[in-house]
Amino acid sequence: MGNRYTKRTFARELTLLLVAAIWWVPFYFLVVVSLKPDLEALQSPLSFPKEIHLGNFSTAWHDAALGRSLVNSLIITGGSVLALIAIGSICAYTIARRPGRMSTTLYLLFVLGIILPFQLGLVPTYAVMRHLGLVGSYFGIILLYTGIWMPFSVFLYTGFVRALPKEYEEASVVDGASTLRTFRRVVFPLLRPVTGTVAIFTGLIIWNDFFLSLIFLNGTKKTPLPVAVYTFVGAFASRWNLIFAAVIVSLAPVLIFFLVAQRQLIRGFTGGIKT
Amino acid sequence: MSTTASGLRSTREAGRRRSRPWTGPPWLWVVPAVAVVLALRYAATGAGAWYAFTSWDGISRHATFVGLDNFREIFRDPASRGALEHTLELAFSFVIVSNVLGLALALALNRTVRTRGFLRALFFAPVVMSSLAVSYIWQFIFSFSGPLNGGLGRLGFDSLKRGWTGDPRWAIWTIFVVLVWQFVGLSMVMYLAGLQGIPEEIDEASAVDGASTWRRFRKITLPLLAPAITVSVTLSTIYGLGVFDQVFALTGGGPVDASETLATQIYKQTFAFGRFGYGTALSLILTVLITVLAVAQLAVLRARENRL
Amino acid sequence: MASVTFSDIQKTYPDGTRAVVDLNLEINDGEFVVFVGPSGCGKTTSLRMVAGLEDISDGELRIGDTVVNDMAPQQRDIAMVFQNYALYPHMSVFDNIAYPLESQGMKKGDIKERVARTAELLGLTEHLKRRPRNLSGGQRQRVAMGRAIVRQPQVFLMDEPLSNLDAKLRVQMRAEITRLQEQLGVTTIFVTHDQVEAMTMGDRIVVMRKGVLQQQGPPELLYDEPANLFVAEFIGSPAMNLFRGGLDDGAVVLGGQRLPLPERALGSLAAYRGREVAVGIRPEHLVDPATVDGALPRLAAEVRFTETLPPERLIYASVEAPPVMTEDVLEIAKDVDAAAVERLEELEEKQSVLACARFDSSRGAPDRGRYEFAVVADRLHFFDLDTGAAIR
Repeated sequence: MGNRYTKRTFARELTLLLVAAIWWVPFYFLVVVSLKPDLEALQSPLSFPKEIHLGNFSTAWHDAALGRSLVNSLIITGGSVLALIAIGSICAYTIARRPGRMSTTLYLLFVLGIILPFQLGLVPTYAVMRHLGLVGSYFGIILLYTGIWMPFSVFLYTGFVRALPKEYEEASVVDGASTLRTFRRVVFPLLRPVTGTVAIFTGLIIWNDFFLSLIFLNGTKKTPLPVAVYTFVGAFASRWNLIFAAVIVSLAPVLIFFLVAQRQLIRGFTGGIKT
Repeated sequence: MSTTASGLRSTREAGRRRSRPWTGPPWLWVVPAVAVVLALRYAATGAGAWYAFTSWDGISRHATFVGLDNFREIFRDPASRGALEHTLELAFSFVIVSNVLGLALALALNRTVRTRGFLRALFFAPVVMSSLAVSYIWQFIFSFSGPLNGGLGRLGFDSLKRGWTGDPRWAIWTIFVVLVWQFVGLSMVMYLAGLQGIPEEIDEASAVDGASTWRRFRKITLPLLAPAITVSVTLSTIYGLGVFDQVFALTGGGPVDASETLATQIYKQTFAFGRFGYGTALSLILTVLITVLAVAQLAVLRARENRL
Repeated sequence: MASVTFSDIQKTYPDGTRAVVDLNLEINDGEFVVFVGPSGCGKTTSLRMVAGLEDISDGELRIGDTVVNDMAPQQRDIAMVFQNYALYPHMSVFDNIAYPLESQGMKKGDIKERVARTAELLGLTEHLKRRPRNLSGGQRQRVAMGRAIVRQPQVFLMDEPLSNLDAKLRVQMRAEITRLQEQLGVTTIFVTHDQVEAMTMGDRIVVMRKGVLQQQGPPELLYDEPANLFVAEFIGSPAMNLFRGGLDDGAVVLGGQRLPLPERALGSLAAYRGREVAVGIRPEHLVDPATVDGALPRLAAEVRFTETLPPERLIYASVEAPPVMTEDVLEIAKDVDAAAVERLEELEEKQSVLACARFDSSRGAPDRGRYEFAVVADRLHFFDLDTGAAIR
């Protein structure tokens, strides 16, 4: 209690560090096994590697087509996040700045959209997309992710715009700027915090998504990282050293991002408490 | 140009001059967002609800209406019934354990711990990782020659060794472990945020008043944490009920449907067996389950919040 | 041609509140007009209607020869300085000032030149790269002015731009704005709630109250010939002394003391014979009897306290005469604070008025206690107690 660092606090901290260390044991195995050559991986998988063998990584990279999947993930996640931000923000701006019955109805539409589970609509969506030839295309999957996460994006943006003082827009309009210009140059820059939250939150989830990309992109050359790893594991079943090398490569982008943007990430997730 | 009497009169004659010089952004701007949501969420869900009552195979142009046949089959088929059971089992235990553990960690981490930020990052890291990656790591740990069995052997519990993910009794609990391991950090972080909102003075005042730690927790901390609890529990429920990735990667629903959940069943029936109508019926059940439980939980928890 | 004409302008909100009622006003090209009045009087609403930020419920608004009722703000060629400046926080000073020019599609080179010139005019050249949050209040105000000036618009609109500045800075900026406006010659509508600001800055002043125009004209007109009680009490600092007096033959009776009526008012006051009217005396018209030769009527009072601020001295003395308690007066008091209203009510009970007289500080101050002022009876003001209108 208070800010005294007592022996009790020290004991607590030590216990926590211990628990955290135990929590991270799986990562220990992940790294250790990935560095073992085939023979050692089979015979003594759990011990510390006798020598650091980086060959697994290049094997995994090539055989799992990780490079290509990485690019796919970037395209898909980037495209979806851009769409969510661009389309969501202008919609929210309109809802927030044009109060009335239409706005309230639309707002409700989006709020309910957040709560509605997406699984039920999956099959019809798949059928329609297949009919339109969108299954297995970047556009199709980006469209899907955009549709699923749009309510979230609009919801966040609307709340924020409502709290923004109207004066800046008024000044901009009086200064002779068109509404589009006003949004682009004045309003949108002021929405940076929300844009960050939307980008990080949805970006992360879309990047890690497996279920939807499995259904819509499996077997194509456009598979993102999770599906690529899945396929690789399917082919290389118990060769854990190779599998883990692939896993590490696929985890690397997210982990790097996590190290860098940790604070904002956590803030984005806990912002949900306020709503 | 001056306001002569005639000028004024002509204005009145022209009728009421309402003017709307600046109305803000055009309604056109909502169209893309609304279109995409209406199509991919509402229309799709509606169509899904319809297809649940058909025996559509996903290819033919027309779907034959079969009324409640799909649902009858679902409740007869032991695989589907089992999936429902497992889903509830898994979700229930996941929600409880991850939230209790998360709360415990948050409480422990909340004050005067120097390595707070570091610890927080350590526990939160698994949350941001792909569920597949996490599942594969644990699949290794649970494998017959993996560290879990290795550790049990070292401790002398040789008899407890088994192929965990391939064991009908334990398969589903391996998934449970993975889920908790991955998401405790999320609950923890939410509760930490909630705890930040509780002024220290309140807890201190209560201690000065002579309340025991447990009492302080029950009467002060817990009620003030109610909003965080509502959000965390509801979110973990929604996620837990619909979990797919970890099940699929870890056990594939096996062995022999022992760890099948509704989500994996839906995938299997729809995309492996091509029974789109049946799969959608399962999906409808899952959706209703999630919605009902989530809403009920929200209602109950919000009511408890407001009782404060 | 940048005149601004209000023809029968009305502004009614959906809930029925009438913010502006029957506004008829013509502002000439190059004029500096100040809209002044207590909060809620409709001055800001009128300004925003000119800007196009508020709908006009009825009537016609012209800028120059063009009817602008339905014209978007972007097309009106006006510039506005907001009360809180509304400087774009994420842009530098340069970008803030350049923004209106960019919106009009001006070439980069021309923009740079114009902004540089405007910055120099306002002393902002060293601050061009900084962000608004790193500027002082006065600097921010000047950036807001810069953004307005740089476009060379037809009309300047200013919504209480000096309210957020400290007193000294306010006085300084007042002079700067006046000088600037004279130099640029742009039609300006300036809104303020501070009557001192209004009086010092405007070519013409428009006093508004509850959406209705009370009086408009040059400062001296409003000061010397207020059209009603509201204007009389609102304009002038310290405020005009107001008494309730009964009319008798050729004189007005203030609690037993008689003051002769001025020649010019005899005719119109005849109609009020036997009734009470409101009598107003400006503080400078209650003078030190020793400084005047010739017979001026006397007004007896009890000196309470004095405030000395050379070159003048304000004498506060109670006069045994009933105060004026009309709605206007109460409203002005309410605008000050609740204590002012209380004091007024106290005075009403005691049937006395705390009058203020303006003396020269070079002479000695009168002692506390009974004192007789000389009244410049020629400059008495009279108002109808029911309507508040001036009786000329």
